Amino acid sequence: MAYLSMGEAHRRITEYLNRFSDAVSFQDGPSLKHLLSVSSNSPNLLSLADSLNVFQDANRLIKQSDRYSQFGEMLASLLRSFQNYRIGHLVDAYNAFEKSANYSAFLQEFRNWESAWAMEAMYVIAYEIRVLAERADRELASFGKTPEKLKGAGSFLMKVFGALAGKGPKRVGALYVTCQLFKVYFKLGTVHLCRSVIRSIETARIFDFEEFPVRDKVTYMYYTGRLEVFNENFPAADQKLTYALMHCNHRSEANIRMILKYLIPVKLSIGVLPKSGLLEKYNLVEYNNVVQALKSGDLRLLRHALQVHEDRFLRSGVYLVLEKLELQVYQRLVKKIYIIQKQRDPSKAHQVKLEVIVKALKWLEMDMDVDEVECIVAILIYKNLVKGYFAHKSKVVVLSKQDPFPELNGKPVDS
Amino acid sequence: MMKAPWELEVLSSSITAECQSQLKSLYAEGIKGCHMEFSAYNLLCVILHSNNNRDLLSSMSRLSDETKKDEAVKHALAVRSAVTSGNYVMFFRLYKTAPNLNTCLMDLYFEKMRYEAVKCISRSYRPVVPVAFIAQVLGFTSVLATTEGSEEKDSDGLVECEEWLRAHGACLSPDNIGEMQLDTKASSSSLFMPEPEDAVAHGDASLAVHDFLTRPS
Repeated sequence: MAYLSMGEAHRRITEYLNRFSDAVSFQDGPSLKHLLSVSSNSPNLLSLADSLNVFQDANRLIKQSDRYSQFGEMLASLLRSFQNYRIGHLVDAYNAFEKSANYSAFLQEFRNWESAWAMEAMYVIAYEIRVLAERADRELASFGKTPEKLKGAGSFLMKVFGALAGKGPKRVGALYVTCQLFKVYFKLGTVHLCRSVIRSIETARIFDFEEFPVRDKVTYMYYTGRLEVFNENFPAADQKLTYALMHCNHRSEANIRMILKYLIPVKLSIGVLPKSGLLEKYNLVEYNNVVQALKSGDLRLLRHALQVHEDRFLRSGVYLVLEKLELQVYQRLVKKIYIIQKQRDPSKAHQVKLEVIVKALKWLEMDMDVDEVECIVAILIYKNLVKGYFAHKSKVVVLSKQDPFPELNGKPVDS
Repeated sequence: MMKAPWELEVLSSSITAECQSQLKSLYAEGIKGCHMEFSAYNLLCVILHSNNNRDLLSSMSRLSDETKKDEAVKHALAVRSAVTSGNYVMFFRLYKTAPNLNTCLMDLYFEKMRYEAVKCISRSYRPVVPVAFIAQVLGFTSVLATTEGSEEKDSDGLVECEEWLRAHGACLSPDNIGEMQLDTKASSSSLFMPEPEDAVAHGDASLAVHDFLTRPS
């Protein structure tokens, strides 16, 4: 860090304070929002933080002028947050930021302003509180202490949500805050808490979903789509994730990839395979073998893919969904046997001996005995993936002459 | 060496918390077990009680590679897989080879798996299925007759299976050599899950545990 004199530090801090009070006086939202990003590392803010660490007594400066008195408490905490963040004291940085954003300070004033001029500043605060909390928790964990700041950030965000859930123009910000809450709950693993915010957004009459900014709608649909994936509610997951994909910025490859990561297993579950090249284009090659297994009826390949990418699939939460594709893979295998039989002798094709299926599985190195294969066949018929019946005595699958292997056609396997 | 006396309380739908606290106090009392065993029970509890996929995924992802090699944990994972896919043949086989106390935790799913299996069989088999076959795959009788007296146990199992099927509305009739058959088409519309009091008891859970503990090892 280049040498910073006391005088220069004093000047920079005063400059920041003036900019802040001007932004508030003139209700200049865009200017205000740039003054609040503690974690952003913008050159101006970095130099402010450096100045604070040199000067050390910003509170005196704040008290010196009436201009800053309206937000005296908030500014004191905010500056403390900048100062601490710069020197890597992340828990202190979070605590100070939370104080500056809270009821006694920003949030209270925000509630009083009728117009939505400070909405973007509020977005920055909502974002910062989450990010600073995550970093603070990492610091706590590294000292062997219980990480609890993100949970606190969640509570704060609920308060912000409350401030936006009214009839006035500020209500368009509610979806952004909701999405920050989703990110908090997903990170904490407390996704059941999403339910109450979702209920507020979707049932409260003050909110009209179409009024919200597109960016927030996309994020909202992405997270609610993921929740549907957890619940294995595939038609709903398909609808929401597809909405997110359709309305997402088509140049944002990272976001498209995130959506596809969940949409692909959903589509596979309703019998829709991705166009060739899609997985490569968005670097989702972990699904390659899964898709191939579905196309060829190769159970060994599916199981292998699940094993190789087990950690990744478990962490993202799609493991169970992919595992359930087994039945479709079995269906494909039996269908292949049927097609081969049909080519050899069409008149006998509709009867498939169980031992042929057992042999086919053994050829795939799946060592399953007759009873187990019989059970799988029974399940296939039960779930309408195979139309027909099983004759136990002769150990033969008797297939329906019409459409013995119904396509899923956009509907998930019968549960 | 057994700690005495203790009993697993009668299993109910809110058992998870109780299960866990019982198991925790067992370990606190110093019963020689290891945390692997606990992982296996934890996993089984999660599988069998929560309808929450997220909990299941999170339990599974927290298993270390070493833990996954443990026999009890492998068994629990296999049970998980069988339950998820509805593979009743695998489920009842796993029951018979369950290590430690995995059986008593599987007991909770027993009835449900059997009922689902019979529904599945009734829909997919035609025209009939021997009750002896059902008794074998649904764990009423043993798979192999290896020991003396197992034949007698098997015929008991066959009778128990018949009673169980009838109690659930299945249509049974003997074939021309007197062997009982399940009429699948008729049963598929007459099967029902009876009220708990009327169901033929598999045996209440505490008995199963005592049974397990008093079995010569």
